[in-house]
Amino acid sequence: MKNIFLYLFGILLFVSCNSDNKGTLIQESEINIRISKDPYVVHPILSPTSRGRLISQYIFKPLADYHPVTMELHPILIENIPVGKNEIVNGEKVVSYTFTIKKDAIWSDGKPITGLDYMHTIKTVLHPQSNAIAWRPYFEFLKDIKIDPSNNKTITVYYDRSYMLSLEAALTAELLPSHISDPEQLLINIPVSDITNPIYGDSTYTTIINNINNSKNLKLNVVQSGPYEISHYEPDLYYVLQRKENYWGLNYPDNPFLQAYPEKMNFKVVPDDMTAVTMAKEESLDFVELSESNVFMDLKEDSTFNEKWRFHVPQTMLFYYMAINNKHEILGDKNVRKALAHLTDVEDYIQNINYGLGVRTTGPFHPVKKYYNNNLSEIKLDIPKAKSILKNAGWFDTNNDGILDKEIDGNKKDLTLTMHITGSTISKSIAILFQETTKQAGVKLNIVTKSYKVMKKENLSNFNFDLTLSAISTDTAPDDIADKETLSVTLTLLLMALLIL
Amino acid sequence: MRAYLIKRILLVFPLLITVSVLAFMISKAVPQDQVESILELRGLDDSTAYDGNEKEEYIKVYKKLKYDLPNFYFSIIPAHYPDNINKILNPQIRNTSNRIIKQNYQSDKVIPIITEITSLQGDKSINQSDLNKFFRSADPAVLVNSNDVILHKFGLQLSKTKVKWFLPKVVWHGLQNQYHNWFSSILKGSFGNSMVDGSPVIKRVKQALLWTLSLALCTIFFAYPLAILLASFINLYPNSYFFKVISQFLYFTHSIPTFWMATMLVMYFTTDDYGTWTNIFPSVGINIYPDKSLITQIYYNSHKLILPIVCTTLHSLAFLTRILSRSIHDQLSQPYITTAYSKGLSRKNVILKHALPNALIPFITLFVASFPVALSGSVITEVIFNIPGLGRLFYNSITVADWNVTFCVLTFIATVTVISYLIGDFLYAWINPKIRFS
Repeated sequence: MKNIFLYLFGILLFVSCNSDNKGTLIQESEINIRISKDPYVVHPILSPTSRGRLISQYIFKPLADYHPVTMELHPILIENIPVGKNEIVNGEKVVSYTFTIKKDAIWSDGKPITGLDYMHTIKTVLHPQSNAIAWRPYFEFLKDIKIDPSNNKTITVYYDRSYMLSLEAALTAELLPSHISDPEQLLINIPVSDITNPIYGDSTYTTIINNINNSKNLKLNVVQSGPYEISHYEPDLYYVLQRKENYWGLNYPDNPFLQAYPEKMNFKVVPDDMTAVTMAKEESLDFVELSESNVFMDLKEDSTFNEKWRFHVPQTMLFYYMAINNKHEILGDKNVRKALAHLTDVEDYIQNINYGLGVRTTGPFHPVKKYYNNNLSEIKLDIPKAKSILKNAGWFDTNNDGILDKEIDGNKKDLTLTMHITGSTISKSIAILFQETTKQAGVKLNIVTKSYKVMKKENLSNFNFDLTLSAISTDTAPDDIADKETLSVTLTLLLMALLIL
Repeated sequence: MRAYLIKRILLVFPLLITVSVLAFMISKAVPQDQVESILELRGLDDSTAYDGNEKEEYIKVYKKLKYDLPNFYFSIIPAHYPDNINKILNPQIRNTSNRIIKQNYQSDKVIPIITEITSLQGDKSINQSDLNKFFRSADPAVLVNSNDVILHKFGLQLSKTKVKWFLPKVVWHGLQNQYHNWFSSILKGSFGNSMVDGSPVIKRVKQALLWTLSLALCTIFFAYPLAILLASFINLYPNSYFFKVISQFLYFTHSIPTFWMATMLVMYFTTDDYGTWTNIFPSVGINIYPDKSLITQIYYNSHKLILPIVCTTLHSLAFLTRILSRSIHDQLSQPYITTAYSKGLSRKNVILKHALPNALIPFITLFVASFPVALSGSVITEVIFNIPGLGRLFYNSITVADWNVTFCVLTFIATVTVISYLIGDFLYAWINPKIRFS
């Protein structure tokens, strides 16, 4: 598959405020936040889904995370971001990172957070019986972990030097308390290199792992490192997060990840956008995230609503893109793909479908990232150029039916393509606009709507498609475009919004 | 009567079993892999094909859920099909073999060949492009036409396995099957845990049911007496402008789709958008009273349930009034009504004492049918009014392939439906002795 256009799409947020004092929100003792769906599992290691992280980010903390504004790694539980040191260990080229957990970092039960917890977390992830399958590949190149004998808060990790994500993989997993899950330190004592050995799969170890696997259900009273804990939970209704008393992280007022402003955060499950808006109008919600741009813009233009609410469109890591099946006999020709790129009016889609709330990018990386390639030029809508490319590639309308054709392997083929879409408002609108421009170049586009699950099974999994519109949301950490599910976009934005307001 | 009663009660069980078998088979036919859904929840991306670590994880979950067992006690399949294709753990081998077998190739020869072909993935000495093309198309001709000697050889081997005759076979799988495991756990009273969050299914269904039940009972409580009242008055005063307007209004409300009515009610009556005077009801959604029990929470939220009850009641009322009104009207043309008039009874007495009781008999069917309909919940009403009821739970569990919850809700609705109709039949017999069950 090849992406021919991408753009970032801002998350649409509006936040209640007092027009006289725009800083009042953070001082409120209780805030109500809309979530569109119950994540059901709130555990960043066992179920790193975007919905789950929206809540779990306040309960679980990693050693470091990407700052949502600078997109640089920012220390959370550790003192500083370590610098890699190239070493040779047992004849292998490795990179080592040494870091120290903050001296006053403690679990919610008062026990100190130490290197043992780090080791326990990583070995839990690595153990074959654990459900932490999304994290496991990031530790595939981990060679060893050592705890400083003189200070159990100082840890050194050794990674294969060739692994480019080693630093963030080493730092961005949320820690699990070893004194709760593995008080006898059985998992901790398994050497990293030997963790997949079947001898560590017996009942002694699987009991520990199964308890951790099942800990996803223990939403209440979980011993964790974050400033909040879930005090109440009703499925499909709400999560109530209560701020912990005397949270140690408040000793670091400059660290945005360790702050806790509202005493209570109520995450209310409100699936319908319009329902969320009416609840907002009645002030039973303070923080609303919307998915429909038109609803957002209508509210923004409503003067009455504007008096009470502030609107934000923070950039997210959500990319909309058109995927092309390169294995297709017509689309295998790069000239056809190039022509399609010139028939794609990305600016128009952003302006007219998303009311200008999106940002065009030239690749699947966030423009804020330092490695984003600013030198790549955007492909503009250019129908004459598209026609000329197709003509040079041998596509002509020989039978004057308005559709270009060409002889391929002895058979006359029309330039007719099928675009699979999921039926979302945005995909429908883009598909129709694209259909109009392709028609002008003699390309017939059929649009087929299917639910994503059906499309995945019938078309995507066996490459039985021509074109499809899709979206990818990536996480800031690990910074891996292939990892689609582990995004923490909204949550980080939420955190930052609460801080900035 | 007693014999009929026993017969009907006994018939309930095969009916419920049939419903459970159908529901189970439908769940197997939907294009959604539950193992994939579980892996997605564990953070594995929804990439188009599992490989390496992901494939291992897939197999692990697949085996844990005992999906390698046959679906049912027996299968009636073409003779060239495998007895149990589920026992192939590798999803790629299973899916590709299945697609080829469906093109009428002999399964016992196809599966070993596909297993060997799958092992060639990543082998640089093999033409990977042709190999991928084969997996995409599941067409043995791709291998036959390949320039790669090994793939060509496999292609020829596959081609030779094409069957000419289509004979059915019946395979008996015994008690070791997925349906049996599921059904026997239900008989033991366990619907298991939600595959999504591991919480007990019964607990989740019970919580959702409380919200739906409060809505449903209120709707029935208001809609039926009001429908009887209105239908009687419409027939009592057929020339009254007031009741003509009411009648037209009911037509109007019945023709409005529920989602539209719900949205309009929310927009007009919970905000100041159309004037302060229209903002009569509190905003939708449920208030949180964390320290209170769920029943107390429903009580505290009763003011928030008014609008959804109005919505569902209005919709039901229109329908019920029209049906009952027509039924009374039909009764009025019966000879016994003429007799009643000839005895000197007033129109009021004729309608209320003679026509209405008889008109209510077909109404019983509607009444008993309203329970399962109301309990199954209205997804739309529950979504718009943000009520975490049974309808929303049912919809959500289907979308995430949480079959344990889906089956529990389905079994519950099926049971209520069957029992409701059973009660309806008895009520029929009790009210109208003319009905004979022989």
